[in-house]
Amino acid sequence: MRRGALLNLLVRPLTIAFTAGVLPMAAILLFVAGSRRPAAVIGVSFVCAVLGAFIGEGMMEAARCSFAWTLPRYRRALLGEFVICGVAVSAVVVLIGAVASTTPPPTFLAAAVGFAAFSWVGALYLLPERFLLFPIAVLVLLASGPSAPAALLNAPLTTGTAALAVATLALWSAFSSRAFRWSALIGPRADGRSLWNGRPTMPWWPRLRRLRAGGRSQGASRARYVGTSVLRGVVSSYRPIRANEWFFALALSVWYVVAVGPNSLNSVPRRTFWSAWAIFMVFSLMNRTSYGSHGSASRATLPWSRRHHFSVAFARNLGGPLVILVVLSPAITAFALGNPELLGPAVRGIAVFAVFCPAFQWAMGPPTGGPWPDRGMTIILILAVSMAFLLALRLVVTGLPALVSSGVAQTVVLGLLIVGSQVLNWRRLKGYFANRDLVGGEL
Amino acid sequence: MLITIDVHSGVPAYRQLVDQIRLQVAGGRLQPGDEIPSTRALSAELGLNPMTISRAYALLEEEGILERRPGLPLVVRARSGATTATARGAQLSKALRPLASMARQLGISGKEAGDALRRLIDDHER
Amino acid sequence: MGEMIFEASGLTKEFGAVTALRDVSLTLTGPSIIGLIGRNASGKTTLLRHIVGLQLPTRGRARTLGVATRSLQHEQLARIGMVPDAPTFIRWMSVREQLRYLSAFYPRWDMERQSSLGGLLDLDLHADISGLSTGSAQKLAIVAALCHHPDLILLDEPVSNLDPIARDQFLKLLLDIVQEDNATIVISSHVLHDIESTVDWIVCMNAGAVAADAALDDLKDQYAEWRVLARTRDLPDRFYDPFVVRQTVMEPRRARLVVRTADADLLAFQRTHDADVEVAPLNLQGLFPILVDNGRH
Repeated sequence: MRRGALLNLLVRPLTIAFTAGVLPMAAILLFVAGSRRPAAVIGVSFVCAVLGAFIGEGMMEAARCSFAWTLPRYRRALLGEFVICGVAVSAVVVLIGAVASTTPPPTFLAAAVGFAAFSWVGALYLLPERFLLFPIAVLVLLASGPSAPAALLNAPLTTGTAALAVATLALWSAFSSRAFRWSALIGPRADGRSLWNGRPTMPWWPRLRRLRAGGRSQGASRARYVGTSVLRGVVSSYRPIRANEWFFALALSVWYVVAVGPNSLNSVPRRTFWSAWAIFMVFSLMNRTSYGSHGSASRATLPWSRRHHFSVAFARNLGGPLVILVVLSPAITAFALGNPELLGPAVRGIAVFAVFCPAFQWAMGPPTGGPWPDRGMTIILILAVSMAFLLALRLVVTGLPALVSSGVAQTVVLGLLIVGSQVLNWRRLKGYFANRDLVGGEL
Repeated sequence: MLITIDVHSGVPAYRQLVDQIRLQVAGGRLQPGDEIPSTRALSAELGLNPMTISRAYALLEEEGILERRPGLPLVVRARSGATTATARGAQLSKALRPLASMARQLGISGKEAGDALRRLIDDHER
Repeated sequence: MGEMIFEASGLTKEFGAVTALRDVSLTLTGPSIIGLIGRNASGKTTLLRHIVGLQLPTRGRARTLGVATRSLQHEQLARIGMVPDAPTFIRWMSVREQLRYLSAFYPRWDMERQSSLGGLLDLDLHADISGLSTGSAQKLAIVAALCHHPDLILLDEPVSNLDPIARDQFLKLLLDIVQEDNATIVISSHVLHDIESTVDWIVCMNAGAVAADAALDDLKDQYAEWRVLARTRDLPDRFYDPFVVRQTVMEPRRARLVVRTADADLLAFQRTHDADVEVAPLNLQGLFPILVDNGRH
């Protein structure tokens, strides 16, 4: 049955819950952003991207199944319905934008950009090259960030057409037979997480490792991670993360700090942009530092007592962000020296982030490893936590000084909140490792 | 020591081993004083669980067919002529029982069966 | 001899509405090779996971190597090696890198054994894990589980994906290891043919409960197959003797029965039905349905 290839996958309570959650948030977002026209377009594309991610995720699960390649006309059916969903989604979001924001963006432009965002993000779930393309897309977005919005509005027809061209390209490559063959071969994600966990070999990527096949000497094992030292446990838990991922994260951060950071501070829209970027960094780094990422399935078979698993998890969840903070401290210090009046808000922002850190880490997945079983719920959870975080950020950064005027008192309040969230985290983690199964529940 | 164990026959492996060693001792292929392979060696050779082998050896030791010397491998124990004769007789009756059952099923008399057996043994000797 | 490896009393495991283990009480002593058999979804994998502490009981107790499974410490866990039913590794590493990574966690990882096992099982050290076939991944899991000289080895369907030659090599390897390390091995498998030659103790599971827990040889002694040939009159349609566990009446004068040898009176039976009975033993393949059936009652 050709009709319903994708729609059948989407007809379930989760989709309804997700859409019911996202659309009101979209309305709020567009209302808030709508006072500035470029931001409205970005808002539209963001919401479309989120929905594209959701639908793309569902599609990817099907494309990875062993039947996906052999089912007749499956690819074409998925493509057709994906396009229909894209059109519907962008239409609805543009409508919400038109209603919610005070100065709605030009319809064609918003719809085209929305559709492009939807297609692009959805397509990323099907492409083998996504772990290259996604960072490139982010970089392009950022590089164009400060100046693009004005350009967007000046030539709506051109920009819109360009956006549609990008969308076509994305769809064409994502639904190609090459991509589907790759999906069917690679199979479902064992330890799956996000777009970052790309497969190391792509069809055309040369096998560099073979070139250095001589490799390291065999040598006797040094039993480095033996024993109950928590530090060693934490170090060992970072080992499964590939070197080039660290490198990429570092490169991105450095690029940001050097190129975009200083320039973004001069105007209010750029400052908002700066916060958005900071939040994006938060997400990526949370993904990296949360205990449940990378190699977690194989971690269950290590000879660690449950208490040790817990100690390592807690230490890593606490230590990871601390390390990030330390690494970013030069940038923060430079920022503080250059803009003393923004120091207070920045510190408050960081404090709010510290309070929400455990929540982000829990949202990424259970501490015993892997993603939460219901991936749709994961997206909803992450969105909910993010919204709460943004709200709290707003409240604390601007609102706290109004309630508590003295700096010392503010520090105490924030300090208590941070300690409180860590105490909750400690207790929850401890209970989790003491009482839960370390591996899944099937027989 | 030539042993074949069929693990899938349903007869416990240890019993097959006991029977075969008993047979070889009764038939003279294993003489008193001959050394028996260690548990480890036999386990590797036959692909059997070493516990099976040690259980068989323990049983044979109990029966008095094998003898354990401190620090040295197991040996076949020297036995009196009468004991050997009884053992041989027991082996033969065991082999003859299914034969007797088949003869009954086919309706062959004891005399006919006996003649057939005698012919076979004599022919083979010639 | 006779070290307490694992004991469970009243062990029950529920996953929501599904009861995976039902009031399991058993004691495993070593050194020994224990075969864990049962139908699909009978709770074998769940039991193995409980032994190593990956899953915790909903009710009841489980102790491994003398310690409650929820409090297993490094000292006990370093003595255990497990090959899970679906082994997962770090996909971007090569086989050699993965083994090197794992070796860092164990105090007595034996590099010599790693190379000899790798050679025996034909494991390509330079292969990427993401490109391994299921059989090769299983071989890697086997090597990874055995190199640190564990005292307790848990194998969950370790041979299901191995080719016949590798299977043979693996079973011989197990026997070597039992002798070398004085280890206890718990092996769960559907291939009864393979494990019959290596195990000395059988634990049979059915629908989450223990259906049989005895030495393999004892089990073989407990049951026998009778091939009945009636001489003068027809056999009844059904045999109601209590020692008859299974029966197939093939022709009016031929039947095949499975009996419990402890209460079976051969001579009386032969006299009652005026029949000749040929007694044959049952191998594990033949015993399996009976053990499973026993578990159902």
